[in-house]
Amino acid sequence: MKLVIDKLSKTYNNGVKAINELNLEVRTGMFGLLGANGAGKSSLMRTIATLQNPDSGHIYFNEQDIHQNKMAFRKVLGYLPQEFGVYAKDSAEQLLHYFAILKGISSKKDRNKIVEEALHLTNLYDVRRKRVSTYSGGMRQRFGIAQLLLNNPQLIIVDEPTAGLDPTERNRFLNVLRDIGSDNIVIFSTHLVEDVKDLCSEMAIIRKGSILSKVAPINAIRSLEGKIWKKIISKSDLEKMKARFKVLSSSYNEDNSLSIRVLAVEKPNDTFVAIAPTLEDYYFSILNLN
Amino acid sequence: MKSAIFNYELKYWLTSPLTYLFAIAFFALALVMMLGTGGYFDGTPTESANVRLLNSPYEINFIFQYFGKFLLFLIPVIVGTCLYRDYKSRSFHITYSFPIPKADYLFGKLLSGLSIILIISLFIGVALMLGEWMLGTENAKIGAFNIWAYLCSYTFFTIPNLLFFSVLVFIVVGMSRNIYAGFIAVLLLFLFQIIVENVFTNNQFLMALLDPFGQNAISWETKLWTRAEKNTQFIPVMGIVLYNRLLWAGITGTAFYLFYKKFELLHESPFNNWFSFFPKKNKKNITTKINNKVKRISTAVIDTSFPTQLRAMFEIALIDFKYMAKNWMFVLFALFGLLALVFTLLKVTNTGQFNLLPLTRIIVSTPLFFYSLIVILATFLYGGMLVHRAKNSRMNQLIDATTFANWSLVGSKIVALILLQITLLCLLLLGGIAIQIYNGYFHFELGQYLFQLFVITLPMLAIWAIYSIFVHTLSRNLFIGLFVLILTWLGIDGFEQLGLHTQLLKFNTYPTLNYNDFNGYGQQLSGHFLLKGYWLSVVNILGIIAYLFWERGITTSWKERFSIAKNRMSRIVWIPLLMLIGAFLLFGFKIYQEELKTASALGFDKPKGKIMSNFKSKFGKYAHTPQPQIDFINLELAIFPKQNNFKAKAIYTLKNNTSAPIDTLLIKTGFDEITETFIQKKYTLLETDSIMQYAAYQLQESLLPNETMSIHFDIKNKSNTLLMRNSEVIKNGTYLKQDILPRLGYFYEETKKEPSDTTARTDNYVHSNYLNIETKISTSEAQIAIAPGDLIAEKGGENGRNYYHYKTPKKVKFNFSFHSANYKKWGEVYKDIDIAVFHHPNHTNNIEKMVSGLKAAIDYNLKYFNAYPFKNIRVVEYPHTAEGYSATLMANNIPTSEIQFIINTEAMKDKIDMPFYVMAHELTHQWFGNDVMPADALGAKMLTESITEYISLQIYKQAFGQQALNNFLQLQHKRYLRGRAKEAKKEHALYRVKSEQQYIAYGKGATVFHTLSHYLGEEKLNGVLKAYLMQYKNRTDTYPTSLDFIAMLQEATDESFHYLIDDFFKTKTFYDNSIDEVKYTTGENGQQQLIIAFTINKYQNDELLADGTFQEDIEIGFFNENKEVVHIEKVKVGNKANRVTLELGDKIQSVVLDPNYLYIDKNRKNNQYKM
Repeated sequence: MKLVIDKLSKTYNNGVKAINELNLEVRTGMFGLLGANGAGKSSLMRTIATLQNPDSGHIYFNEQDIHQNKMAFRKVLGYLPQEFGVYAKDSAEQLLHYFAILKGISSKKDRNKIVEEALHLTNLYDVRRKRVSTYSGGMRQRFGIAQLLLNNPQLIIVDEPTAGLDPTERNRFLNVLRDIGSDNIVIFSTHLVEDVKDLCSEMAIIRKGSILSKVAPINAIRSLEGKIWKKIISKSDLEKMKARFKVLSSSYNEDNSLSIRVLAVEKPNDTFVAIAPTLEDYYFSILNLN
Repeated sequence: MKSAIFNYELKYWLTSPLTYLFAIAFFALALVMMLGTGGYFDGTPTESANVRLLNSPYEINFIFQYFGKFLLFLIPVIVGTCLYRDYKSRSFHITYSFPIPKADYLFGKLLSGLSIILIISLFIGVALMLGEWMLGTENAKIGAFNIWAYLCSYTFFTIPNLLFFSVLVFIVVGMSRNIYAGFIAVLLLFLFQIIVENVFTNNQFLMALLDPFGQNAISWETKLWTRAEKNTQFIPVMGIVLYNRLLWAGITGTAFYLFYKKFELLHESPFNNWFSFFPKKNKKNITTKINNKVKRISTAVIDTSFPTQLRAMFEIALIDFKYMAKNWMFVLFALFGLLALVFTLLKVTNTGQFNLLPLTRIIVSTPLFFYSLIVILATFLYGGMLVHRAKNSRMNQLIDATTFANWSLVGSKIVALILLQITLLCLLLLGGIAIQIYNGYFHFELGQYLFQLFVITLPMLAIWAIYSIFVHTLSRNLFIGLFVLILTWLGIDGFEQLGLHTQLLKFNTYPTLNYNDFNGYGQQLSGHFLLKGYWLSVVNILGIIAYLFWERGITTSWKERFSIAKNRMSRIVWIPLLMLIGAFLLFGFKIYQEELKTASALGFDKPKGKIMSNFKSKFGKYAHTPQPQIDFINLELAIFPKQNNFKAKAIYTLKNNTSAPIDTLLIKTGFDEITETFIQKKYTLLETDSIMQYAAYQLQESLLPNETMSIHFDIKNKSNTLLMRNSEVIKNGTYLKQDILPRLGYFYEETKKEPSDTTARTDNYVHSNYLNIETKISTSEAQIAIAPGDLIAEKGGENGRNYYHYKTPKKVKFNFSFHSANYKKWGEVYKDIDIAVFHHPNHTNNIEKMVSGLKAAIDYNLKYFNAYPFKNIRVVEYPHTAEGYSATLMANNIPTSEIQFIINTEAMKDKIDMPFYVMAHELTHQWFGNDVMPADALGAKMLTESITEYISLQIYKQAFGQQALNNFLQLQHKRYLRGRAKEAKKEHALYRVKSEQQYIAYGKGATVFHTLSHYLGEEKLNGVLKAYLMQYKNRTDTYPTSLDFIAMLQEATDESFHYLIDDFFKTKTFYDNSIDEVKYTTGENGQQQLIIAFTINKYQNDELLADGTFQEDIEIGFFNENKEVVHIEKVKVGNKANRVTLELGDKIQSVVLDPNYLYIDKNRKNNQYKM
């Protein structure tokens, strides 16, 4: 299974270039798409989900251009948009049946079975008769996963699913996602580095509609081994430090002093201590480089 | 802060294209309406006397009221949205946390929206003024411009109405946080008005008071206004109009106060539980247990083949339908519909002029029409909800990423709407049957229901469903969509205003299908289905366009939508599209052809005025050319019911009754017939007019005095077109009249002669002498054929046809009827007269009442005048679709409308026994109207209808008593007063009554003769009538005028009555009398002493007479507890204010001025005083 994106571009009416000559290849497994707000994540996701036509470029799934035959592609597609609502008065069970029909599961017996499985898999079975509009944020996201699973998709696109979830909900959600991700392509966009670290076998960093880096998280961290240094400074020294070193990030300590993390091939001086690299360091290093 | 909110909203609307769209649309509609009515597009009216002025204050207000109703639909759009926008965008979460006072928030929103609507309403006024100016005062329908007419309408009706209903809609939207509820509120108002109008038909005061729009209040105040008053007077704003306005101001004010008190700027609406049918259960905190049994989802077969998509389309449609049907709006629509059904039906079965049995054909006519209106409105609203539903709930991305095809998506919404329509129609079916059962009518014509509902009505509704989805798909904005839909719907009539009469432009509109029990729908169906086919192909093309432009995923511009549409134009789309366009062209061309045929048959290709002026310039010179009289007609008439045709051969024997030779023949042949003329003398054709079917011939050899000649005519009907019925012959229930037969003479004199004109006496009002007619009539095997005279032979079954031979036993008036139908015959012999009723087998309820009416008329007329001149009477039923609800005497036949047979006499117990009365009236015409024919002058109807109506009253009184007579007289008074209010031209005195002034001939005429009989005595008046009858009976040398009769009346009566005769016959006199006060004391011996103060307002020729200028005999009636007359006091009065004192022994319960209904009184209500 392979998704190939070839020189994809999209410019909106207001002149915003959302996707800019983007190339990417994604294979089976969890794939994290990391980028700041407005980097073009959602535009890319929507375009892969065939909800938006690109101005130029192509997307191939298993060698087939998905915009040439949208219907065939949608059979194997599962999509969870960043923000979605549901018909206010319908229960999860009703809505899943509705989607099952829309997704072409024509046998009623099949539908009953699959809807029940999806409810179990997302741990919504007990609340299947409740209105989805009354669900909490995490339950609603799990419902979103349930609906995309109905057609047993080979390519799953989830757009910023963890935004706004509390830690427990987030963990539970990621577990559900992990379970379904092993045999399929799951493209998962987020602005949280942690999500990717916990979940993805591969990731890409996107900015201004282009891919800056595509790498496996393990390799990403490995690439920085021995290159990350930490120092505690006073707040007023930050600008000075930024001018002298590649400061990746800074965080406040309890005494109002700052800890900074610096990227350097060799120890800059004795005031720095070596520290194990994180994926976040990689993310900032890539953004800083470009 | 208030001004900040107000300004923000105002700016929002002033920069919204929607506002300008509405303003322009209303401007254009109002202008087109004004210009169209003024004849700007299809010829300025030339007639100038007594026309209805278009720009009188009355009329301007009327137009404003009309547009005011459209404006109501803007209220939810604009006022509702001002509030609703905050809920829809969820911005109220933020704004409600600001320190905004409630008052600022609510008033800012309400007033800004209201201002925008008021600005839009100004465009209507400007358009009307522009229209006035464009038509110009030289236009007969335009009077002098008057700005007060506009100001008055705005001040008292338009602005208050918009204010009242804006407040109500605002409240509803504020409470429900739902914009659709605002629309429903507007619909409810309309419904409320309909209900008020129907419930209070017997209490017009309440109807006027409660009407939310104030329309009925104006009607109440102006109901007796004549045309001249309507053209000049300002609409009254005091009295009931003021009360009505105050009442509604009070209602809306109170509602707003209550709403204001409860409203809070809160996240949860304080009215949250008002709009759900079931109280919400307490929300439990939802938690879920982990279940790890299922690790994977099974693989299902995903099928996107055509049959599966088709099935899925229906499955989704069913889900969408359930969603709509469960919604509270649906319950309201269904309720509206059923109420509309009940109230429109009540008018037919209980409250109207005639109470009819609730036949199925009646339920599926007007009530179904109103019901359909509600279904159509539901289709518009739900269409928008379905199209925008996914996006509004932000579920569209989930749906759009599925494999569901666009066509099934569009299709599912159309199917869902149609399912909704079917449900509503089924509800009507059940409701209709329930009403029939309730009324004790158990003859359920299920086939007729199903055919009308699902074969005729449903396709029409489905066309609207597809159109609704099309419009909403393209418009993106719900309100623009709704506006376009309503505009299409109501704008259809606009084409007529623009002078475009073709059906090809009137979207989804069909000529009314008339069903009758004899003939069913007859031949109208093929034309109807032709039009349906045309609109179905149009709307399916639109359906395909909706598919092409259906928004899937995210599109950002129309350019993109077009390019997507282009991509969707695959071969699978092209093939049906081309087929539909082919069907559209084919149907359209056929309709165009049929319309051409129809137009040329009607002469529509030329303006009407021109046809007449052409005719007059050619034939006017023959107006006074003496003509021979028709002495005998030998007619062979073959009716072919199945083919809708007849063929006739008529041989006329003409006789020169004048003293000079005649060499010019003027022959008018049937308008709807094709007639060939064969004159048995040598002649030359002088002139001919094919539209007016008229020809003048010059005989080479004159017809000498007393000489006879014959003319042969071959007559056949014009054939029907698919859209137009030209032939009077129908499959069952054919009713032909003398107008199929040629006539001799010139019938187009513009002015009738005065009764004082002695030359009028030489011709009668039907322009023909008495004559004999012999008819050999044939029809198909199953039917009975009827013609005038005695049946002298009949022969059945030859060549599958029935033959009948009729001949008049004596000469009759030139009024004949010919019938053919599957009749059932009812018969009885009474005083040697064969009475037969030929009727529809199911219409049996009223036959006995009809026959008793005939018998009573035979007896009464025999007692006072002389014997009925024929040996038989045939009452022959004709379908209501042929001609109105009445009956006519034609020789010894009385063709009678089906309505008289299906009146529910049980429900009309306390009204008039119509079947009895109509028969008594028609038969009496044998004496007054047939035996004596009045001269061809003004006042002729006094000698036929007034006298006949009076005699019918007497017959009625003998049969049903004094109280029934009083009821009847009261109706006659109303008939006169309402008729004169509606008079488009000039009211004449009775002796000069014009033939179309029925309110004078019947309403006033009957009252006047009755009052005379009250004063003179029945014997005495009938004596005069008999003398008149004997003097003129069957004469052809001279015919009486109204003045001849009045002279006889004066001669036979004492001089003291002559003023009464003058008042009644020669002036326009009526009264507005009242009892002002009654004082009473009871004496020691139980005697009651009464002092009655009363007013006599006598109006003569539109002037109120001053004290001392009149002398009147007035009766005052005194009634006891059992409503029995105790005493009638006769008083002579000559002043307006009067007082009478008297002592009576019995206890008096009520005093009534004019208890015998002798005088026509403008307001009878104040004639009674209850102790």
